[in-house]
Amino acid sequence: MKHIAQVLLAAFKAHLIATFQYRVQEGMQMIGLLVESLIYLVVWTTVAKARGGEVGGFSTDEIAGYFIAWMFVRNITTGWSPYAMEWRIRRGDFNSLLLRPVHPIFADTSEMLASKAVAMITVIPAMIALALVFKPRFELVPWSLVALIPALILAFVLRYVLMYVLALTAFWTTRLGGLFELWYGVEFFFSGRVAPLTVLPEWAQQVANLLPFKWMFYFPLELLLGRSQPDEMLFGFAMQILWLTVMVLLIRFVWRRATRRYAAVGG
Amino acid sequence: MDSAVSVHDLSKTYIVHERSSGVRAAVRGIFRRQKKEVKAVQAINFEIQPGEIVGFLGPNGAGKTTTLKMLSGLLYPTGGEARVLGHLPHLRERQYLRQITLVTGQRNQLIWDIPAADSYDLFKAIYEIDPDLYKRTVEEFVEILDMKDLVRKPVRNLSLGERMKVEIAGSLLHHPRVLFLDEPTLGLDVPMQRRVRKFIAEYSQREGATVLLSSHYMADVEALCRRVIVIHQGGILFDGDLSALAARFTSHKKVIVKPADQSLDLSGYGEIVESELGSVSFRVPKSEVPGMTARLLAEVPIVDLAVEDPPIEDVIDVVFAKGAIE
Amino acid sequence: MHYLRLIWTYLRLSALNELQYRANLLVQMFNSVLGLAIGLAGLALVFSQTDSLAGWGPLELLVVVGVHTLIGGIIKSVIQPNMYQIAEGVQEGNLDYILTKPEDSQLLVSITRFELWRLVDVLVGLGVLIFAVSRLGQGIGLGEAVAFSVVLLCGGLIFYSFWLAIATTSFWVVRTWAIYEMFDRLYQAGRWPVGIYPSWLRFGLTFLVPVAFAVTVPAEALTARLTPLYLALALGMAALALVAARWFWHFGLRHYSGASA
Repeated sequence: MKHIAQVLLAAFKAHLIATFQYRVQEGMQMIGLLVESLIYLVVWTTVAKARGGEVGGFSTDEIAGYFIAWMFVRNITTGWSPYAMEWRIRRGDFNSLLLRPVHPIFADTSEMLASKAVAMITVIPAMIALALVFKPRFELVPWSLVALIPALILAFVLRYVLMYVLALTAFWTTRLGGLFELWYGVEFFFSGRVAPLTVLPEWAQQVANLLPFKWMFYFPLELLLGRSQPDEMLFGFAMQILWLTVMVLLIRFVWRRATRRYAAVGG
Repeated sequence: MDSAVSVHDLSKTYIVHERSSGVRAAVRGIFRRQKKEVKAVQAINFEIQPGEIVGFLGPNGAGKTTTLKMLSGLLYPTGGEARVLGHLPHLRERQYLRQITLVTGQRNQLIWDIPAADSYDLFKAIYEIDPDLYKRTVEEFVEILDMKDLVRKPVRNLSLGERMKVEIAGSLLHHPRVLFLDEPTLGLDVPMQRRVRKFIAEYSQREGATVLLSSHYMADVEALCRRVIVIHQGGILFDGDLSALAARFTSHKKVIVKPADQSLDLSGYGEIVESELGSVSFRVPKSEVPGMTARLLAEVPIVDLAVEDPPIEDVIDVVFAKGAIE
Repeated sequence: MHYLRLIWTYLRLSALNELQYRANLLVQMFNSVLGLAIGLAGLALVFSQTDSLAGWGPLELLVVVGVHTLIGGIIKSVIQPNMYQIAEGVQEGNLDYILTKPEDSQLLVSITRFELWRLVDVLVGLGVLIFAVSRLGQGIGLGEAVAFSVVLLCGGLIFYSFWLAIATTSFWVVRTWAIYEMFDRLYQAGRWPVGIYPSWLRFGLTFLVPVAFAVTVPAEALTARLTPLYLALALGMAALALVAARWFWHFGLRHYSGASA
């Protein structure tokens, strides 16, 4: 176990250095994140204003706060895009990773964490800038913020593993297309990314509770905004752990099939 | 006659970003990066006549590829001047580009998903090749390189050797006058290497094309080039006949002896480098060769004796290791 | 003319090649429908809460969605694959081959690939447009149709220039898929009319402006909002974008060839 920790730390350092090299590219990822949150911030504040200052239980300022905090949570929970995965497999990058004595997911994790650390350098100032412009309103509730930390970690792990599983399907088909788009589409609505879940119709909110997406995004976001009640928080953690168990089982299953299936492509 | 390639004081200096290792240096690297100058090519001079096949030899990083890139117009020189067919390559004039071709081992220019024949059609359009000439050329190349089935298959379905064949054929469709070849036989098996070399040699002879070849494989250079230019650390170390290279750079010769009695110990006659199957090879300083061979012949019953130049590989190794003329 | 023949040759070859892969057509149809469903769901969500968004009603926003899908189809079939190829070419070193060809490099890198099946989005977008416009009941005359086509073309050119500029940055930056993703995100801005952004923001965000502009303005042409000013602006922007992109491409090339030293 200690060995793994050492390896992770070394990998993290190496990736941190690498990430600093790719300044422009990190910048691009930042822009993507910023733009997406900005679009929906503007859309929903417009809607709120048209309704006289409220939508889905959020006032206009609170909606602004939602989407600013959105940036923070989104940065934490993004993972390897399936296209990146496909690219790596096509280029045969996976070969060297598979030959290492440590499971590839660890190398990827450290790289992921390193890039998030660097991304935060841009996200935080961006959040501040947006806050100055849109003057959001939210509450900083101490116990909520404490609960946020494990919630964020679990959310990241959950989403990361799920994305990894999905990306592994790249071993079976070199044209990923449909599956991912469907996944993204569903996640888009049921995670709270396009709008707070309270804006959704009643039936959709029920569905959202059953799917894992809410627990990967909306749940920590609510904690950050101080909008959660203690019992909701406990329920949220329970769901996160439940889904995590499912994911771990799933990835072990898929990984075994994937490595068996793996043929060096694009050498 | 005007030279095909004329190079005066050609130089290329790169600015490379340097950084020490560690996280703190990496962070500093966001705001300011240290620069270092690398002189890849330093004031080189040479002339190449039309129809010559010249080999560029040199270790990695010596400046061969940089020189080739400057001559083909891919890189701007930092100093001096290069003229190819009277043009300044870096201007990338259409008239110039029509007359040259670049072939790089293991990198494809044919479109991956479609048959080579279709990519050839594209080249026809780009180079504005006369349709009749094009048809004849394609037929000819297909025949010579035995590519009838290959050109109909998508390039990605071909093996490495097959791919190289269709690539080289494609690069010569427009009958270029100057060929820039950078490691063209990289990764190919021996028979395929020979095929490719033959094709290039014949093309050059028939069309009077000038060939600049950069390769690690001595076999490529030996087979195709009479003249070699050795580039080392950005400068020209040697420019002349390949045979003269050995003569100039080595102080030793190889003496191979087949004694009648194979059990004899001949170590007293000189430095033995190889001993197998009844044949003993000595490494002998040039000046001592007459004396040593005379002694051997006089004192030991010999079945066969030969005096050879050391293999070119060894010569090159010596050249690069010493980096100077002995 | 030589250039037209060249472009036609490329298109023909790519199309013929793509026709072999009928599975791709199915995947594309699935994706198009899915994309449309997501767009419509987003619209439905907004209009479950309000009747108008910055003065645009549901049918009018449907027009925006139609234009967005249509242009998206053009981008994905003609523009995006080539830009992706540029980034790859720079990284793999294949760009050298383009540079030693006696043809304008920008032209060559822009036409190497053509993904035929992505045109399904164009059809879907057109379908949505026709549906929405017919429901609006205002009808469109010849003038509007022409204006729409002109502005649509401008939009296409703006996107081409924009994408080319992004691809040009690969001369300095290495990983290509980040570019792909960033544009996908940016393009989402086009789903909503420019009018929702506060005016100061509109001009401040140079990234959003071309995207939103290039989609909103054609939509305005079909919903009787297009003013001569905006038509002129569209033309002007397209021209400016083309010039800027070409300049940047050559700037990037010079850097690649080590000319800046």
